[in-house]
Amino acid sequence: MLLTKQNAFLGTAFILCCGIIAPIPISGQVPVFREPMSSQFPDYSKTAGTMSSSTVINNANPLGDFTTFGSSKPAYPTINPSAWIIEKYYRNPNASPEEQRRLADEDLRAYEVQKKQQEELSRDINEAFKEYEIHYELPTHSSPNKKYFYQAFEEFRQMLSGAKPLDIKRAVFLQEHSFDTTLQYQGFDRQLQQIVSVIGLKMKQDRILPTDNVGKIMILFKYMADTIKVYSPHQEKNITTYPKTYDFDDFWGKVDYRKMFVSKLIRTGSGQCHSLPLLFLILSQEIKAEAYLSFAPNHSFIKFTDKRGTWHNIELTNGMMASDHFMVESGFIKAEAIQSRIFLSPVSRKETIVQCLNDLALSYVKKYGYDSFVKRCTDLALAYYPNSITAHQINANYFKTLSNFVVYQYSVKKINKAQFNGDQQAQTIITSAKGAAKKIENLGYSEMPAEAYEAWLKSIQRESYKQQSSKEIKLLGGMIEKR
Amino acid sequence: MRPIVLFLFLFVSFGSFAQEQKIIYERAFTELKGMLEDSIPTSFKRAVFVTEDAYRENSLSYSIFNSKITFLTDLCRKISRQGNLIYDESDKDEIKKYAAVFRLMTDTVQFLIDNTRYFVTQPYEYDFEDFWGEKDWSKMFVSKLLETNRGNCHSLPFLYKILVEELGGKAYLSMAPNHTYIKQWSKKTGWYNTELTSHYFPIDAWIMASGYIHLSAVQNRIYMDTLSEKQSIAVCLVDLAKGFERKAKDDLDFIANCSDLALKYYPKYTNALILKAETTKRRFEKIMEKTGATYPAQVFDRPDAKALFGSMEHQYSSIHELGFRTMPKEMYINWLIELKRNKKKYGNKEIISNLKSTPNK
Repeated sequence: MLLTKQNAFLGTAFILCCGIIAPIPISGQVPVFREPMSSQFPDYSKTAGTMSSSTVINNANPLGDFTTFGSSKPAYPTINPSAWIIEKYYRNPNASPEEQRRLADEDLRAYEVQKKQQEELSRDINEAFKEYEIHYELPTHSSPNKKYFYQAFEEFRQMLSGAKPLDIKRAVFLQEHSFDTTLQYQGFDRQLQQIVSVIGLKMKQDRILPTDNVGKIMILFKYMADTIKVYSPHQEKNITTYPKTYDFDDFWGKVDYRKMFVSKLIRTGSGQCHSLPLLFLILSQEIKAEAYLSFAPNHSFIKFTDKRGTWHNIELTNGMMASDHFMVESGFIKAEAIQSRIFLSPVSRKETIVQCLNDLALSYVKKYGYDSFVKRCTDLALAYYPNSITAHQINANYFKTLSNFVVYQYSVKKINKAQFNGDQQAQTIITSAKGAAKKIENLGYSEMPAEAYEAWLKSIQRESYKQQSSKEIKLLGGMIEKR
Repeated sequence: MRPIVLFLFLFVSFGSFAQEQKIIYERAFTELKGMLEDSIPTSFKRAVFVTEDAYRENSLSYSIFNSKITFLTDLCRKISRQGNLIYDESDKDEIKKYAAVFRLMTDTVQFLIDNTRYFVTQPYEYDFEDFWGEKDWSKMFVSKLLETNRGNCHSLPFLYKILVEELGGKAYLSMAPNHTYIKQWSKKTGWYNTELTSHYFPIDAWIMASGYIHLSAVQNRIYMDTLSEKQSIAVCLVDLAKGFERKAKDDLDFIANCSDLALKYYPKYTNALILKAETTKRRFEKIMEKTGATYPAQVFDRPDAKALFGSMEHQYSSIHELGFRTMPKEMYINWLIELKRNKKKYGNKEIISNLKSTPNK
């Protein structure tokens, strides 16, 4: 499927619990902000004269000095500005005008110094309080390329709300373009139209009725899994297309995310279980055939019905028709997952668009990590596809990251546990994180390790499966009406 | 004169004997109905006993049955005291109960009486002979299992459920084609399966690999879902009807009552649906017999026959639509053996490592 391992977050609420409790120091530590020391903090209650620095406080009460008023003691302590004022107004009323002006200047300067110190002090205090503040939003940084994601999101919203028609081709392009902005819609569309014209020629060659769904699906299947040779009267030459192969190298896009892109598949002719079914769906939309996406653990494939209403599975990674038996053979599907219909059930067109939106969120995470944009994506996704396992996983990861972030702040700032437990906002986040993890568990989700996945995909080459597949293809071939 | 009296006596006693049987069955039906309608407390143990006792013509004693169960429960308590589990979740005490019951049912366990004597229990084995109770319905019974130490996919999970519930734990029956197994919840692994016929914990893929579980059957929750308390009682009710069917084939009303009531509480129970469809079929066949018809269309001029045929067709097709497929007996046995052969592939590795116990030092 399209989930990276990083996103795989199985119902591990207990790990989360441990993570939350561990970093909080249990010994009741003193609050973060330092207790103001007397050296920094002038005691304004005592110094009516409001002068700075410790010397004021250490000096005796200025009022006490009144006792010496009028005495001949010529004490003008030059260092202490507060003394100047007292001297100025109370001790030396008979100073000369020059002297008085000089004293006033001195006084102003002292006042400036004091004002600056006070400002610094209040900044210190504010910072101390700011440090105490806990952030309940994940930090985010702006990047000019984020706008492509925002624009794509807006278009998804319009498609889902019905303001714009549901268009899988556009949805896939939007997601890939947001990640790799060098892609152009015109080029993407032109390449697809070329494929569509080849399919159209093949349909004509095989005399398939344009109204026959099984016929169209089988031609699409042939295009994906077989070599097609058609004569194009337009270009006056033969066109040959080759089967789309499975790219076993980095098939979950861990090293290069673009490995999972449909544009990469069109360019190179090889894809994986994410891009192959999506290309199939885009093409079926273009030729107006009816096919559906479906999921298995870490996997997606195509489902369609024949004329009798029987469901068939197309496994594009191997170019075969696969039975339900093959799907459960992987051993990683639980009965609960089938009951909740997260696996092996057909996904509607709207839900397929939602899945592209999930891909958008995932590629955003790949680039920028989790933040509130991811939450906006999952909210929208779950509104239109409430059982979307991918959206639930992204949601759970978002809340896990957020709760870890809140817990981290508490642990760094050494705030005691009682305060943490009393923090309503933090508790809500942690409850949501646990709830999101529980939801995934309840849906019966299970994940498949990469080695098991590869072995399972290769197991379809077993003779019994091959025979079954060719039998099914023959059966379906018999159902096609030809003109 | 004497032979006539003897004959009369025999005749009367025979007639009253059949009548008495019906009364026993009616009483069992009323009791199960009471449990379903909440007029008496629900007890799976009691429901199983009542069902079996009715087939055995009231010859079983509930106190003996009960004391056997109590004895086994005590042994389970002793086992859970014997060793410690490698399991560290908060539901450890629950898991210990489950592990003890599993061990008692599947392993040879020794209990010290004093320094010189000890006492050994033998594991319950799968009885490959007539495992669907086609010849002898009592093969399916828990009471038979307790007597002979041999059971099948019906009696073994039933006994497991009874024992776990006696210990205060939770065990749910779960259905597969022609098969019953146990589903339980553990905090560490979530839902897991316990298969008592092969003494193993298979993953869901094994159950689906039988090849007779259609995908829609799982989606519709007719298989592989946990049964509620009421649904388990409904299962007993269908068992009651099946036992009755062996004794009084022609009393279709009682069978229909049982299947209807069971379906009211467990609408997707395939066995009840099949029983109901078969009853309708037999009603139709009776009409054919009466009129001497050789094929169905001959009686279609009778409106009641036509209606019966229509509802029968509808019942069978809805069973098919739900995803039911008949599983041949050979396939069933092969499937059970497949688990023993492919333990590595179909084993639930997590739960197996969880249930390993370490002896106390």
